[in-house]
Amino acid sequence: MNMAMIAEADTSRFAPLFLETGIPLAVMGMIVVFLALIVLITIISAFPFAMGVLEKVFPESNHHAAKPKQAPKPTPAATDDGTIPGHILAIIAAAVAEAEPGPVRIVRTRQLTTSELAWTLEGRIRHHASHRLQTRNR
Amino acid sequence: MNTEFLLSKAGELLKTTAFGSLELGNVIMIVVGLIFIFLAIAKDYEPLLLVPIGFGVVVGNIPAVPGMPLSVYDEGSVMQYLYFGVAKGVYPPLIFLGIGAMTDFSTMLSNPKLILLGAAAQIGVFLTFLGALVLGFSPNEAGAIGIIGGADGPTAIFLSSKLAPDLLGAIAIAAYSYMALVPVIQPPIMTLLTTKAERKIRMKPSRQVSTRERIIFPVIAFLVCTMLAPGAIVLIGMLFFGNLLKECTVTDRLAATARSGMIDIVTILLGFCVGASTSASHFLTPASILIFCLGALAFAVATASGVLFAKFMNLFLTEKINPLIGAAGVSAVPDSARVVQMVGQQNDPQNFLLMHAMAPNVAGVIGSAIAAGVLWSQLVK
Repeated sequence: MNMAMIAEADTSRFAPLFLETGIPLAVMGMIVVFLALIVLITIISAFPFAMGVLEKVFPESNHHAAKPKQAPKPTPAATDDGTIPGHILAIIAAAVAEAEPGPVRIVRTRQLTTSELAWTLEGRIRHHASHRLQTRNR
Repeated sequence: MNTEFLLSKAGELLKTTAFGSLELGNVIMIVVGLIFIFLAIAKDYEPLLLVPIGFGVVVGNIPAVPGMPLSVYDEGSVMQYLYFGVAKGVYPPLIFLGIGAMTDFSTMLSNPKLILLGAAAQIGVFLTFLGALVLGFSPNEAGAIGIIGGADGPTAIFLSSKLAPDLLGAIAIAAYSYMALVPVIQPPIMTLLTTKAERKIRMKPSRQVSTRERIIFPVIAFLVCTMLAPGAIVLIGMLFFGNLLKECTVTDRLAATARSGMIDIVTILLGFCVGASTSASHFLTPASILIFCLGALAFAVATASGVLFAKFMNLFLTEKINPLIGAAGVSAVPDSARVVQMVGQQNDPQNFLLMHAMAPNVAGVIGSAIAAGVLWSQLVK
């Protein structure tokens, strides 16, 4: 008798799952989410081609292009012989001293390549942080 | 005579103070609020949210003096007017406007297949919805609880204000608490479900996206998403409107306002009012504990779904994707993407996954808003 009551209670507990607002709604919801995003993927995938066609018909005007930011006067990051100038090294040393908890010694620095410069700012920061550093024993 | 008079006056005075009706539940909630403030200030856990919420919790648990409308639940109180924006779902769309004005969809546009990871993570929403139904919540309440898995505070508040206003405080606190705990919840699941070799997969840098693409995208994405899920029109509409302001290059002032002053004001009001709605009598209930448990389950399932779906995609892709970025599909912008970067670099310090993870991350925002729209449109009847 008790077992039958427990089984009945279990059945009633799961009963809402089989109503319209149960599993059918969950499945439908997932389908709608996936469908919307798959349609979005399809459209975005066609963007490069569509932009190419659009560019031929309506060339992108300067008005809608992002205004180029006023670039600061470039300071040479490296001297003619490829070594890093003293003031840049001082900045690197100050940044490392700020970022690292203990005293550190900069073992090696090198100029970033063009492709690395194109990567994100976060990547660059991490890259600098990843230089081999040795912590001095106090 | 004088002593009796003084005692009676002292008794009357006590009644006009909050000490007279202070209960243990209020004290517990005030301590919880202070812990939130401590975590935000001392540990930097989501300070922009936890400070307003924590202080709101303290304010909401100072017992009201009988006859004085003070709390968010008292008719005609000032707090109730401020709470109007939460109860009627006004603040979340405004937050979405600001988020749209901050969000850069370029990484998503440059690698569109990663959008699928944002969809996969929504499995957590719907599985938690089913779990809540089994635990005895009504379909409306279950829908509002399930959306915690979307890891999107404004979406959770918006949906619960529409479907289960009584649970709004618990759901909002659970959603924001777990968002603050993303760096704690996600890494073990990500590590458990991936091999070391998978975690070391490096992905190619994405292509450059033109200004024109970035302008056209919010308009087309809005049309596609809202045609398929009209219930998402409020959140998705504001998200993409904000993004259009940012990308169209001719409304810089509006975009700057949306992503700075406006979103800050709304965040203050939203956080404070949500906190103030957690008075002990409304919040300290068995349902709240269940909601916190289901919220943790929702986050874990959403994270696992994203990672596993990324592994599934790798079965068909020639250029493999790092499955860790699947975890960023849970939205929680940008914390989950940061967690992906962190876990990735623990395995390969030269591997930069942050920008790749931003694609499923922003796709997760869209996915959770669509999921909320579906649940709202189907359950509100």
